[in-house]
Amino acid sequence: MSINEELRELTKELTVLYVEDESNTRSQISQILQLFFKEVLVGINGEEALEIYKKNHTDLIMTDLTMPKMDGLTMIKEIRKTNSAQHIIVLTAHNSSENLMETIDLQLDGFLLKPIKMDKLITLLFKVAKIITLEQKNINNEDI
Amino acid sequence: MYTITHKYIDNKKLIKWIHENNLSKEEECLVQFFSGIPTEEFMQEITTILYQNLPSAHILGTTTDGEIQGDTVSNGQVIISASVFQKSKLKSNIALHEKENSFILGKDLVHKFDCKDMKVMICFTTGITINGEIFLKGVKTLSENNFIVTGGMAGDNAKFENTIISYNGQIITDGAIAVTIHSKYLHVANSYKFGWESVGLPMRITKSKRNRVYEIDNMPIMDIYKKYFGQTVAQLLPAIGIQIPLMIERHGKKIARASINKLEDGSLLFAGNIIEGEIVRFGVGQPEKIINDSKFICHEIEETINPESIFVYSCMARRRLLDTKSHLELISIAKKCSVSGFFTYGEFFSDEHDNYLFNETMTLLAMSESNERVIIPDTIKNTNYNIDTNNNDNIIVNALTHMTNVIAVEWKKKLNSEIEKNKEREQASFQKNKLAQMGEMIGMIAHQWRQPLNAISATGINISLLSSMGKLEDDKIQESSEFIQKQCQNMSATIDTFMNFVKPAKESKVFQLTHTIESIMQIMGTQLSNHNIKVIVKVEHENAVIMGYEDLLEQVIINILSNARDAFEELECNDKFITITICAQKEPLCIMIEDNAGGIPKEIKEKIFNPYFTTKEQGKGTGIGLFMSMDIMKKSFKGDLEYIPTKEGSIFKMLFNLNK
Repeated sequence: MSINEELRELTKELTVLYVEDESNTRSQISQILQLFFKEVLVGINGEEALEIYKKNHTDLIMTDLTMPKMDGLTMIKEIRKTNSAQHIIVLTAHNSSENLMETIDLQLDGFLLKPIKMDKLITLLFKVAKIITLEQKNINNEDI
Repeated sequence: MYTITHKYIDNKKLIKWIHENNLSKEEECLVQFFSGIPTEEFMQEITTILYQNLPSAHILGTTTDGEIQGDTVSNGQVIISASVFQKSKLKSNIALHEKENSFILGKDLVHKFDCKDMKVMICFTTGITINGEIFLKGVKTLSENNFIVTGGMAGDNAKFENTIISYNGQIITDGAIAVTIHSKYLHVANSYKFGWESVGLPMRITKSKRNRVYEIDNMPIMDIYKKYFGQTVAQLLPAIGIQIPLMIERHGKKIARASINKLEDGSLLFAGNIIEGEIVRFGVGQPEKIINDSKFICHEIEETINPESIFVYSCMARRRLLDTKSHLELISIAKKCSVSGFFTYGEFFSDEHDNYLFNETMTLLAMSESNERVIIPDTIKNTNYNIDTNNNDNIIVNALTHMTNVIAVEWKKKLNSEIEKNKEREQASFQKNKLAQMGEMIGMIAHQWRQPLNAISATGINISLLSSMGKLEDDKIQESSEFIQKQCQNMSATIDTFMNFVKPAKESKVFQLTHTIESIMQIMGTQLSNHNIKVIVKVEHENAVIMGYEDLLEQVIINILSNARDAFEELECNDKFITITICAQKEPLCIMIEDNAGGIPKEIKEKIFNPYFTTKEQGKGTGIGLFMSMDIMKKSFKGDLEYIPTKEGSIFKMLFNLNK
């Protein structure tokens, strides 16, 4: 089984909220995510994504940082208030001016630099999906 | 033709002279009298006697600052010159200076004559009340290239109180008279000699009105005279003004302008116009050079005609400067034929280009009705006037003139090298600014390109994954390929836009302000919206156009927008905006850029336009941006750049063509 297929196995029952303001990138990346995840929700900025998240606690959030209305950092802080364990991956541009130290402090699951490289995307998703799956298994076990 | 002269002693002797020479029987007789006694009573007396005894002659008289008869120069005497013509017709007339408009005076006078066969017009005007230069412009309305204009302005022995001319028994205290000579057979030639040397630095006339000069190099004119010649000499103005005139250059001719009156408001009145903006130097007369120069005037005239009569209208300054040597100028011409004339307050001269009011010159009118040409004997060509070149005064004047000019040249050189250095410095800051702007541009390209790069990269990943999963369909390949191509085209277009901005100085042309703003938004728009800054463009004046270098204006606007963008960086604000307004008013045209980025702290507000002032962290700002922007607005658009603080931020107001 290839790594892609293994990833598909891990993510096929998971949901993801993907936040990106730029439409072309958003469309392409969400298509990629749809290849793996059970459900892909899309937000075009922090504010909208927060609304979506209130209704649907997805297993994973993947978000851009620089966005109009509400930037990624603010959104993550808001989400952390209600769900400190939320799994989050940040996609950000090389050299961008976001405050890196502050971002590090948010205890994220990973970073992806834009433009995204496929192997890094797959590896990170694999790692994070495994953790989510394990957590969910533990919860289920505890339930039993 | 011939001319005879008489030195006035009393009325009886004058009448005797007239009768002895049968002048009253001559049909075409021109009588000029030059009176060193500038009183109305005396002028009236002389002109009346002449008119009674020579009723058919054309009698023109003028008061003087010295008289010329042959090679003799007198002062306070009266010389009468009578010219009899055989092959020419004379006409004469008079015009009064009624509307205090010297142009109308000249025009009125000249239009009383008809041009047919007119060879020369000899004019005398009163010396103080008339603007000789404007008068000649009036004369030019008819004279242009058609005939020679000569003559001069009346003097009054340097008193500058009352100059008088007279015509056929009538005296005139404010006006002009002229005689014209019409003939197919008359040969005429005019010539002039100058000989004054320019000294010192070129200066600019910064305030003048016609022949009244207020300021030179932004200093009151009297202060300039005091500065360069000292208090003693300055106090002797205007009398001494004629010896230290201002020198200007027109049509390649050095023209001197002597001051003839000092007015209460500190301005000086000159014997001719000096135009605001004109470059002048001081002139200094050196007797030796003046006499040497005038030595050749006779040969110049003889190259064209063999003169039978010569009239000399020479400047009072020459007589006063050359003093006992003033007759030396006349020796060579007096050997040839009858010479008569006077020392004026301004000489009239004309050539194929224009009519000129001269000061400080000796002008000559030579006439002949014969066709013979004279061969000048070599002995006369080499006439040595035995001028005492070792004269101590001459040596010192020469030396001082030389020294002044050497100092002026050295000083100018030094100044030029300073200017050169400053230019280099300016060039360097300009380069630095250019580099900073390039940096800005690259930043903007990065923003512009990042998104298509992300999208293209994601598309690649998408296809690759689909393929590995066996889900890749032809449609998807087509769609992705088209998408990638389109993105690449956009990126390429971005490069073109930027290249346009980076290209060195485009040409100066008329451009629309809306176009400028549009192209700036094309390259900066993404960057600003990435920073969550909303840009509103308000066009109140749709067709606002400017003449100049569009790229320079682009630099200014980009600079202000970049500053606003950087100011927002340090600001927590959800409603960041920049409003660019092309203002409705037509004059002066104006662009306003307003932001709510917090504004500029009061304590540094005064310094923002200073070069090298920056609040940005080390390495980020050159501090040259607003300074250069101001410079561009002032130099390239004759405008200004204003900073206006607002409650939440700043307005930068760019004004165009303020001093249109």
